[in-house]
Amino acid sequence: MREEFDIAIIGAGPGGLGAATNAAHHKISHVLLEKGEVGNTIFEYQLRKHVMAEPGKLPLRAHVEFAAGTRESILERWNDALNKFGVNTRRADVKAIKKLGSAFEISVGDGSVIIAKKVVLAIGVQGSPRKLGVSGDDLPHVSYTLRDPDAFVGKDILVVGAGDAAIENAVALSAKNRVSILNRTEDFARAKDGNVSLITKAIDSGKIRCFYNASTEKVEQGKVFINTAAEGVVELKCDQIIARIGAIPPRKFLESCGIVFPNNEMTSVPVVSKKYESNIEGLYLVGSLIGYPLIKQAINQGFEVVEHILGNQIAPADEVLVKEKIGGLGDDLEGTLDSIRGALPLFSDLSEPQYRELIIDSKVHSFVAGDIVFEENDFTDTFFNVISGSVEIQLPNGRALELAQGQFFGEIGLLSGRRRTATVKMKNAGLILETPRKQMLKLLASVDSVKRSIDRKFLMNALATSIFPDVDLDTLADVATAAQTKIFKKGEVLFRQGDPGTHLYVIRKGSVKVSIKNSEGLDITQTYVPAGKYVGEMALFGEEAKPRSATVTAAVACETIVMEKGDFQHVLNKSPEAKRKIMLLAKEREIQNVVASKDERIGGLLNFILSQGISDADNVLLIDSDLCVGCDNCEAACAATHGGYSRLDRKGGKSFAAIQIPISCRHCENPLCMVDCPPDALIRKPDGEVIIQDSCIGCGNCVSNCPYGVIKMVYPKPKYEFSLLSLLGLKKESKPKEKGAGKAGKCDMCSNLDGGPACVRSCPTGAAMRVKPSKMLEIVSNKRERFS
Amino acid sequence: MREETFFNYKNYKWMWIHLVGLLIALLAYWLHDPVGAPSGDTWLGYTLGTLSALAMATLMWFGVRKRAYYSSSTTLKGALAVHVWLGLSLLLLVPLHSGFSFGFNVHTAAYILIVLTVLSGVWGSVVYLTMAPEVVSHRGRGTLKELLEKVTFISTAADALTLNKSPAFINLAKRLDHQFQPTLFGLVFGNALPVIDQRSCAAELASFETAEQEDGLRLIGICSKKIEQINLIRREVRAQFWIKAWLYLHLPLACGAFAVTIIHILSVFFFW
Repeated sequence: MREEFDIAIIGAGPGGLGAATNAAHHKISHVLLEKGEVGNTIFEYQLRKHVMAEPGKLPLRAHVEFAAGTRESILERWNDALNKFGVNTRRADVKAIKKLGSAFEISVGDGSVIIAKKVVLAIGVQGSPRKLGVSGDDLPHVSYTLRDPDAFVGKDILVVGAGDAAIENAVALSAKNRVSILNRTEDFARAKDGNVSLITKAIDSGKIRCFYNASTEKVEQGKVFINTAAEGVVELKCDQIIARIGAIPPRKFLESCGIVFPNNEMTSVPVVSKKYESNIEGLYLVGSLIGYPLIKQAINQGFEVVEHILGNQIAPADEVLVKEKIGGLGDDLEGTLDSIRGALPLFSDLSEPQYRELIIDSKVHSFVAGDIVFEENDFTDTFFNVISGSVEIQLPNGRALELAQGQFFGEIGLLSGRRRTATVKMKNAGLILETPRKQMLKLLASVDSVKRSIDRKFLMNALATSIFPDVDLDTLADVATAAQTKIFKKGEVLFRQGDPGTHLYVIRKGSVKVSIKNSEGLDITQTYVPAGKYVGEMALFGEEAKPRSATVTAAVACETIVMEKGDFQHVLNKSPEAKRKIMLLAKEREIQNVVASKDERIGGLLNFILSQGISDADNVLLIDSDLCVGCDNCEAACAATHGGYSRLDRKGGKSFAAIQIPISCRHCENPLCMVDCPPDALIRKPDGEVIIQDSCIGCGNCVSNCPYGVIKMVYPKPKYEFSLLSLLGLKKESKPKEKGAGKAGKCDMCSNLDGGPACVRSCPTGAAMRVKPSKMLEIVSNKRERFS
Repeated sequence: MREETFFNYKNYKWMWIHLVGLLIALLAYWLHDPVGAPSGDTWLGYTLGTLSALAMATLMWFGVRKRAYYSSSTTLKGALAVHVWLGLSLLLLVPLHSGFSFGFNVHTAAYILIVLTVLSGVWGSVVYLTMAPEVVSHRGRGTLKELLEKVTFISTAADALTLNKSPAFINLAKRLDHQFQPTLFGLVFGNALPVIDQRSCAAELASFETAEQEDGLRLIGICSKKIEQINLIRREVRAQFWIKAWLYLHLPLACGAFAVTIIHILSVFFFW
């Protein structure tokens, strides 16, 4: 069967709906193809989940309605819109799209073929869930999602998978069912820390049964056969199987259609034109496929793409937002956009939508000569481009560097999360583009040329500031080209004591710990080295291979710049001054190694602190157990100054020897809480504090992303109702409502109070202190005695 | 002491300030030549009395200061330093006010209560400074609940080992496996359990049948672990007890002293 349409829209998500309703509105022949449900991603959400409508400022331009609300209300409106406009919707699994002449041939799962002049792909990035791949995996009691855990009561359920989704499902189901979880490996290393402890607790307490190193053999009605390493094939009574084993990303499918991706990064997205047209003429891409994850953006793009196909001139919906940013620079918006773009070669490879989004998210500053852009040791992490005029960077060695139009700065703060390494001042008046970190990270992942340019500059600067301050930039440029970046996971070893020294590592992000074997051969942690510093130079002097004098391990996830011994020596030979200084430091470290106490207990304390992620912290609450009397006045003070909710939990924290680390924000250098905040409410202040602004929408992402569990949902305190009965204990106190308008809450360092954090000021014995990591090392070595 | 506490706060700044104050008071007392015996009735007596009353008000105000979480005037540690040294100064300031005249009356009763309050405070200070490192749960060695669970767990394991064993084995178990029936009094005032005497155990173990030797060794191991845990429990309870106990004396005494002092002041003015 062959049918012909003007437009085929694939995917009935927000983008597809925006396009289909507009096509129907214009009465063009069209078809909307969807293999699942309308709004499938939202359909798969948990029942009654609240869906947000970000960004608030962006106007909605479409024939479908969309506003924040429950899953159900949104799906109902979308289905209503399809009916109202008479959209030609069809359930079909698209297998292939081929271009034949000026039209496309779309092959569908049932064997039929659809011919369309134009194709709009709006299939999102969720992909299709990976199936079990064994006989019986399509039986009705096998599902690949879980919408409502409460729908199951008293059942035998097997959850397959070891990721976050599997764990969350298994734990939720275990409240009312007998749940087993099947893990292909021997641990839950892939999941978030919080989920790992949830599932481990549930397994240890017997609430959930876990099969490690196991796989499904086959599924039959009411039972499942699983292959375990220990007992071979086991039969298990099973009313429901929920397999959460990941999804097959849509990239393969897109590539099979001929769509080109700029690189192999996981997050990379295809490039499209101003009109959302891909590299294949007539094939359009919208929504999260091209890096727009928000529902409203996708609906708008769907609407616009149909207008473009019809040849209608239409300004993008975000025009108002662009105007807000650069309207002050002139009336000709497009002209201004083009001239800014022309001035910034770094962004020449951006697609039009990417560029517009960059401008919308950025700020254009008009500075006069002498204005400070940022100061050394500020903790800001935005990225800057010089549109016009010039800036002067004051280097630590007293030299100054001038950057003119088209050059950029701020990449060290951007990539390492560390403080600013130099002060930047305006030299000649002009315009500066300031871009938030989040937006830049997105571009780094999706635009190769941006990543290459910034990486190279970062390498040069990192080498110049950390190890070779006196070497001329041309020499460093050569080295930077040869050097490579290498990523280490937490706990991974950079090199071991005794290994031959072959490379130098400049730590670009994260931190490493240095340990040396004591006389009994035990690795004793000596110290840690933060981002911006280097390790491994000691074994690189001289011609012959020298063994490493210590073992270096990643204390948190690290990014390093790796430099070969030959390149290192080449630079040293060019600069006798640099050589002398580095030799001196290496000697110092050698002496340190022989003098330092190899006391296991100190090593243990350091290890404990590093295991708590403190080396990644900017400011941590420590309690000296030699002084703490456990009065918990710190918590009382925190609660009293923060709406009744304490942001620190002393007893819940970990302790070791003379140090307690309460559950309290560490103001990390690379805050994971900030990674996924839809309204960008989490920000880092110039002095390093990570705070949550009032724009928080209470989505809870940061709560689950924080590996240290320091963020909690807080609710407005219920009004106290005076009642004689309750006073006499005759009426039950109604519990404070914990539903509704909650917001994320965490330590804000009492930045609104004079005199510093209330917890520290309210400690009667002086046990509580908020300290920087450097101070912490001092405290640890002071704790040598009085141990047990 | 390495760390700065309320005691050595700012190099004993408040101690020196109070000592100087007391010296001035002493000097005034020595130079003062009243009509009749020195007493609270002289101008110096009234002055020192007023100062003492103000000092007491300041001391009582500490309860408010402790909860003034928004206060940024000083740290609570600094306020406590003032509280401690001011309290100690009262011991001398009050007798100087009364001209060391004591009797069986409400005036002396007030002073006695003040002395008791200060002494309980001294006791509390000593406890705070010495007992804090004793709190096991602050040092990552387990909370009280965890420690108790461990002991229960070990006890069950020891019982299981003893099942169907020879009388000699059971004897050893009886001797080593302490039945743990804690009382607050026992934990706080009792002695720590002695560690296992390895030499006598070795002799006993050697006399066991070969079949029981391995389990015997295991028993000694877990019993030693149990003793360690019990001693940790004792240490935790003892530390927590003393850290909290003194306050139950200090607060009522302070309130009593304050109340009686008010009566003392009223009665003085009433009989004037």
